[in-house]
Amino acid sequence: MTDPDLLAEAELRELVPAVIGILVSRGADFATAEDAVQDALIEALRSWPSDPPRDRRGWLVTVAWRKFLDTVRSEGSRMKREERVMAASLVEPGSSAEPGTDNVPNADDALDLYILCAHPDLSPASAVALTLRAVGGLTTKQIAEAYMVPEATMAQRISRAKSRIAGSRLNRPGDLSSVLTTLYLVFNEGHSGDVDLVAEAIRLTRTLTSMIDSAEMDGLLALMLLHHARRDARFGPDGRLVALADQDRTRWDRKLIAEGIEILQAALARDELGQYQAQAAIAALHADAQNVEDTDCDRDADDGGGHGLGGPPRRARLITPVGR
Amino acid sequence: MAKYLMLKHYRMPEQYMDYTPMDQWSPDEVDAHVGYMNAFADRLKDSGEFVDSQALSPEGAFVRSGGPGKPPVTDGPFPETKDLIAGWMVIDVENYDRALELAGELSAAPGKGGEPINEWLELRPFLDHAPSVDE
Repeated sequence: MTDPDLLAEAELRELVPAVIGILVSRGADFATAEDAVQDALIEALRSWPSDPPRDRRGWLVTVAWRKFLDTVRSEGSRMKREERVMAASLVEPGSSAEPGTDNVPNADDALDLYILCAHPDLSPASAVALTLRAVGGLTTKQIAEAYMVPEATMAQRISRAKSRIAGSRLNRPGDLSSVLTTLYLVFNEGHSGDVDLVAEAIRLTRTLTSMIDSAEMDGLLALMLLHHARRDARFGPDGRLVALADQDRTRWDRKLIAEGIEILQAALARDELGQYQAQAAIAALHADAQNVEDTDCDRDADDGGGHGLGGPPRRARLITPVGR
Repeated sequence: MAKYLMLKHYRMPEQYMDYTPMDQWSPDEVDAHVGYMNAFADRLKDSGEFVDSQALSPEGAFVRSGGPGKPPVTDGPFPETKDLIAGWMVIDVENYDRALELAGELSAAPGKGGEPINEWLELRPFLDHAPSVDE
């Protein structure tokens, strides 16, 4: 794949959650809307390189909406569905490819989507798969390759996840902690296939931090950046894992470390400590040291004295080194 | 999720072979055995836990390099006492308990007389790749 294609795909994927949100706001149910957007996405990947639309989001909304209507009509023998189509058709803005006013995505829609895809009723693996598809805009094939399972298996996993949460409303306030867990799981899966899940996890977390005010969300982003900064140094020329103490610290990405520390400092200053901020603080101590001996072990994880990472005495200690 | 290999054997050390070997089953009994495994695999496909399944012929040989510029050296067919792998199934499941549950189910495939053979399977976790977080 050439670089312009990659760029176009990244741009395309960023539109996915918004387009799902628009379909749902027009009356589509989440599961069918998500399938329709996935179909539109695959069609876009095929046709855009040779025939790019002027208004990408408008194109996606129009194509996805048609696919949604096709699906519901083909299942039209069921009364309930028909009623839903009728209701939905009332707000259909015609068949024009140009976006109507209801094509303006709502930031809350995207946030609701994160929360729904990480629904506590889902197993962690299902939440991860659904998040990567509906929020990340990855195709089932890409997710299957990243997790090294057959595409049919991943399709089934996603489909079961969707039926599991079929009764859940998209606009219900939910628990952010399962979103954090899901994104961290994606991050930890690493890199295989042609999709970099580490980069994807960082992208999704970054997007989320711009939508919601949460010290722990910021802490998670800082944690990811601080770990990611060391990625190049983590493997030797033979592909073997290099322990932290033996890593070539000149290969650490100082820019990422600086960004991670800045985000973490701002989060810690809000005095709402949680596990991700605590882990990020430990990662920051390591990232900040020029060599192993310099690592500020007095303030490192092992001085907790049994009270864990969450207690106030630790927090006070953590802010100091991070703030240097 | 974690991937596991479930390894089936035609032959194993005697203490693990407490059922009538497959070469003494009728064709119908073999079909029933294979049918059980296929239905099992279908259920895993439906649950999103299936990765791969393959059966192996009992034929084959040991092979190793004969050194630079020389043909590979073979030793075969396998001696009667050798463990003989019959095939495998790879699953991707939530945890070890689920892997155990599935292996137990696969082990109960029917054999001679349609009775569950309750064969010993090898259940082996895949080696994890390096995590993104190392401390």
